[in-house]
Amino acid sequence: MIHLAGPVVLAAVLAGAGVYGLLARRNAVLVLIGAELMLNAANVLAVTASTLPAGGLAVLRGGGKAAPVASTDPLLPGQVLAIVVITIAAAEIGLALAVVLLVFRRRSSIDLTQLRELGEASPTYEEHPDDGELTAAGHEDLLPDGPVAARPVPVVEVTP
Amino acid sequence: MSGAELLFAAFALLAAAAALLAVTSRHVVHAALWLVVTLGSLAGVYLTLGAELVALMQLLVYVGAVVVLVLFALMMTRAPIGLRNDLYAPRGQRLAASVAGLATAGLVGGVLLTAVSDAGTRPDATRGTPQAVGQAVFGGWALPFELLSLLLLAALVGALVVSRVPAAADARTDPADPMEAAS
Repeated sequence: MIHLAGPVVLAAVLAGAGVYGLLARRNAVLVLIGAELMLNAANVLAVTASTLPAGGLAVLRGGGKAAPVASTDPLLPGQVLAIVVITIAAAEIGLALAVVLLVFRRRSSIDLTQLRELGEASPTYEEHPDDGELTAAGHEDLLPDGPVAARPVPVVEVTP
Repeated sequence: MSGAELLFAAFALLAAAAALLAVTSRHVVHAALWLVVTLGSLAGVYLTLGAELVALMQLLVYVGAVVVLVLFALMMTRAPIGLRNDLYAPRGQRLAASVAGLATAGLVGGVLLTAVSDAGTRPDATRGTPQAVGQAVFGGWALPFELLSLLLLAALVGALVVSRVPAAADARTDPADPMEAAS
């Protein structure tokens, strides 16, 4: 017999770690790792629920009035749901990584704190925000030939 | 403590510790590799819970495909190798993130722990075999399953459209960009 507190605590830890990773990371790919952890927390709960007897938790906690009857639901909702979540996660990460690669190709960086705007060009868009770390590191190949340091930081001009 | 419970505890501890390392590691590639450990030990958790096919799917799809995709993405975005201190958002956001993470874990764990109290479950391994799950998926769940294949097709086409470089725009926009020039 497996105590139900185990899977529940595991799911809670996975969900908490996922939220932390999602919010605290700057690299877009590492943010996606946090999202995967949260999906797995949901999966753990779904699979755990599929092991409950007929009637679910209410029967288990009923207090020994009647022995729990093993569930005979032929649809296995918990396990099928887990497989559905795994499939959706695969679709999600494929699409998300394609978007990340596109962002990298356009901006030469997937640092989420540097990406202020999604659009290509808008009146408020500024290619090189304050600290300039990204500008020197990411855009050498976009500059004309010559020493990078000698040139002024290029500013994207927006044609009205 | 029975053998199954001991096995479950070992896999669960491994999964939780690796998950925490995956979101806190300062090496980009190590974070992805800790994710492999998390997902692999979660497959073990599913096995001890009697869900054989789900465990196999976890290994095939997550460890086999998703992690490889993540590693490829790290490679193609020229992820820095070695110890990095700029993987985290600014200190204030990090603090807020840890508060949010702890709150989520506390809320989920607290609510569910009160719900299950001291109940235990006896996993039935015959209910997780490929035969049982296959009959469920292609019987009662046939329509949602077909919808899933539609979703996968849409994601495939979407990923292709997003990552494709239009041939005409290629020469016009960024001739100096080595990645676009190569494709």
